[in-house]
Amino acid sequence: MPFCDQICTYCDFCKMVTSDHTKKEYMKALIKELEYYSDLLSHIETIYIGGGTPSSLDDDLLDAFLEELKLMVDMKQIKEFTIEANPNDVTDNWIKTLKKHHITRVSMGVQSMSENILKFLGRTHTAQIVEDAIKTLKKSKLNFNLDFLYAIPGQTKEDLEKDLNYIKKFDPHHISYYSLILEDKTVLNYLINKHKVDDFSEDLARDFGEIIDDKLNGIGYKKYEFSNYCKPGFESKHNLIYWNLEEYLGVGLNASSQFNYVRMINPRKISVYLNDINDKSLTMHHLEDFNPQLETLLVGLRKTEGIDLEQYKKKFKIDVFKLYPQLKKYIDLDLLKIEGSRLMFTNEGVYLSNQVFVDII
Amino acid sequence: MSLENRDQSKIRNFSIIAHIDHGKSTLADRILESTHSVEKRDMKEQVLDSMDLERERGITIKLNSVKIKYKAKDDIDYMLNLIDTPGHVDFTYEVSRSLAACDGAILVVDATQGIEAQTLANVYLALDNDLEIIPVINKIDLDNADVEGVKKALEETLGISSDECIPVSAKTGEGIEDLLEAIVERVPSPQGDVNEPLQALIFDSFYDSYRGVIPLVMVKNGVIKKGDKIKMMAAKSVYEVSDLGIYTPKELPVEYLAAGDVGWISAAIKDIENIHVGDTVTLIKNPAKEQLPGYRELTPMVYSGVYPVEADDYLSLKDAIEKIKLSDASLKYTPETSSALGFGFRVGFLGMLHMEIFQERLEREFNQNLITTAPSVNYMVYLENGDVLEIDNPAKMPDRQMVQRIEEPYVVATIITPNEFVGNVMEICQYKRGIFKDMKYQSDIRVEIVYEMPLSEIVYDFFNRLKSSTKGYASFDYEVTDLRESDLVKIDILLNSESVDALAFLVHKDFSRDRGLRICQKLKEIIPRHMFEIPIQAAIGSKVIARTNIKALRKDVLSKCYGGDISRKKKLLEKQKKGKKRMKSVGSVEIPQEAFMSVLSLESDN
Repeated sequence: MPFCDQICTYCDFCKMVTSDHTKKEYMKALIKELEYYSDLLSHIETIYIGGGTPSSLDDDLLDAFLEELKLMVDMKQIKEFTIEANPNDVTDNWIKTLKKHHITRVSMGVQSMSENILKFLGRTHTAQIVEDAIKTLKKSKLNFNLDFLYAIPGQTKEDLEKDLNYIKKFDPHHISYYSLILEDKTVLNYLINKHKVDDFSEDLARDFGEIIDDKLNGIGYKKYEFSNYCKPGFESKHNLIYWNLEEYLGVGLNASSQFNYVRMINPRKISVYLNDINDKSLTMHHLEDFNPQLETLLVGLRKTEGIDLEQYKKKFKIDVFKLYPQLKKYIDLDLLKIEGSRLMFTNEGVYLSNQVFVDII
Repeated sequence: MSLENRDQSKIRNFSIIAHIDHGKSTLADRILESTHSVEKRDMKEQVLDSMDLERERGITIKLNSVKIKYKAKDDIDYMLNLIDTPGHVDFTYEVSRSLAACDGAILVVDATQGIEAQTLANVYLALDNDLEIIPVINKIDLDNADVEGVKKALEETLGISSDECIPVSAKTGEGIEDLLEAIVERVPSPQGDVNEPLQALIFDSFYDSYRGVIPLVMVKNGVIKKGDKIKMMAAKSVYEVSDLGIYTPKELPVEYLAAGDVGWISAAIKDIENIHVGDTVTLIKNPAKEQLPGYRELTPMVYSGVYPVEADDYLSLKDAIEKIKLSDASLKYTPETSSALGFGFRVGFLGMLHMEIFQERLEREFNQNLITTAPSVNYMVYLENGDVLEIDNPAKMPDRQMVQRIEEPYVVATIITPNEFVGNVMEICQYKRGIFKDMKYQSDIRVEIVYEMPLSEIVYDFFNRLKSSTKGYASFDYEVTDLRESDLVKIDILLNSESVDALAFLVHKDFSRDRGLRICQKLKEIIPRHMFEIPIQAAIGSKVIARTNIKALRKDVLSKCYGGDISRKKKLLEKQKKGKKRMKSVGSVEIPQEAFMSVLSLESDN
């Protein structure tokens, strides 16, 4: 759902602020696209509605869409069904729509509980709105994730500790805690390049990361991926598919899919997408670079448990150290380690993982 | 035209000399346009500056020449040969050779800027070659043009009568007719004799991948034709002329070139070492007794190490340097090895601009990925045992105990500046170990200041400092004069406790601590953080005089990666890898290219 009520200064996802008319057109197109893939839909186990901001859709539009989806997907076989939300949009009525259509999980973008930082990021919610949304979520008994950011220009250690205390209080099932990335073509990147805002120091970012690791570990969260933490048993099943390099189907604007050993991506321009769907000529651009031997490492090693060396060998008919002898060096440097039959990053290695990836890419 | 009907008295050979930005190329364009040598619709800005680099930088590096037909007011057709000259101090010898091919020179002075340091240097060269000077005051269309002031300055500084000055606007074309008439009237026709043995002066050459080296010549005496067997008198090499011609500015083959003519010769010349600017071409049959005066081997002023980033690219770098050498006789190079950088070349340049142009050409025209080390001058090193060494690479400097004394080249530097900056200029010159020689007021507001100073101090960021402390209004020229003894020390740079020979440099003892500290700080900024801490030290012999540390890398991770991101994240990693590849691994440290030049810009920060 590439629609947003406002655009955040750091966001480089495919997104737009648009009219209700376009949204309606788009939802119709989405259904059509899903219909093309009806044979694939019988195999799916998880669904994720991401954005943009899916919660910015009107409840009746969302309701109509989910109604159609239900006709195509057997909801009984769906093990996890997530929708992303802005705190502003989490209302009792909205929750009712989710429950009606078997949505099991909400992922809410909080980012920070400091008002000045929220403003800097271009977010329109306040700490109070977050608190209200959490109350609503808890009441719903839905499983929920909270997105937080750190290493935000201007963020202090006090800001960080405040956020961590709120997390303890909110007690979510799952937390995605991202170090802010400066993406090209974002307002934030412009501000930093023009020296209107000071970049966040690398050393402090590392310190913050370790504070987060310690604190979340202390209150019962397991770090199972570079930026993801959960209560036992509450890993995101959907996202694990990505990190295990399994197959997925993406529908909608700029969505990507990976199956039958290819990765493809939909057009990024909404007019092109809508036309293609209406002409039944949707061109998913084939991304040439699918390299499972490499990517199994690039995404698999993001998981705390790393990859299974025997499975790797079985799948690709070659030992990973034979294919990438460089990896051994990083074991000696204590960035990687082997436990049982698994290869994984050390705590230090997680923070320097690009050094390893750059060497094998 | 047959040789018999030819009238040498209707030929005028001239060039245009000017300080950078005073409008030389625009004036040349306007002359071509107003004589219909180039149709207006074919006009590119600055026709003569044919290299992209030249057009971008607004300077002429490679020489060009054009034959122009002009019907003068006396209704007679004249042949004007415009020989272009490079407009920069680094290329003084080339300028002098192209001026040697002329009988007259148009001296362009900007009506808003007045006389500059290079204007003076060029005038002296023109006078050395006994040329008729036609002073032109350009840019008279501008509001702040001060024609009378410039006339007065020309009269006072150079003794040029204000009656001789021709005011023009190369932009609007005003005064161009007057200038063309003045060329016909004042510049003498070439004095050579077609019946004498051939003497043709090579004033430039370029390389054509089909025809080999093409020398550009001015025929002083005699005639050269297709099929002639020719000899380069200094290089002693022999060829047969397969084709010859002129530029109009398009290339046009002709039957012959005779005394007074300017043109190109094609003679299947493959051995690039044998074509020297300043050499004389003569015929095997009936050769000239002596070569034309003024030829000399060029001596480079600054030397720098040039290495491929990837050792595998050594041969392709060698090939590229050889190709550039084809059109740049002044370039000198020898193979060199560095323990840090591997196999490369030590290349000698006429000056800093020459070096920059060379680097840019290697990178742009030949796609070379280079490491260039900081330039050095040529030092004379007298050893205790009586031996004398020429050292153009600081890394090769013998141990201090063995050295009795070191001499370094000195220059006379002439700086012309508005008087409000005199204090700033003198401060820089003093700081650069300058010895004050002279100060002259050219006018109420412009001052000419003369200093003697070590060439090495000019190499190290002198020009940038001069520009920034005079708001770009000062101009500067220098000439190497002699060698003088200096108390110099070699500073070694150690990264992770290993000495990096390519970073060593020589400095006056009094500045050693300060420079050592600055380079440590500079390298700390330039070298990216590694997975381990890197100590940076500056040392004289075994004594460390400055140190700092690059802290270990602590965070290098992509925080987010989901389905749709994988391709993009891979691209990011690939980009990071590419950046790494451009760096040079020295021991366990990866050093970016610019680090090797960092010693040059140590002072620009304060």
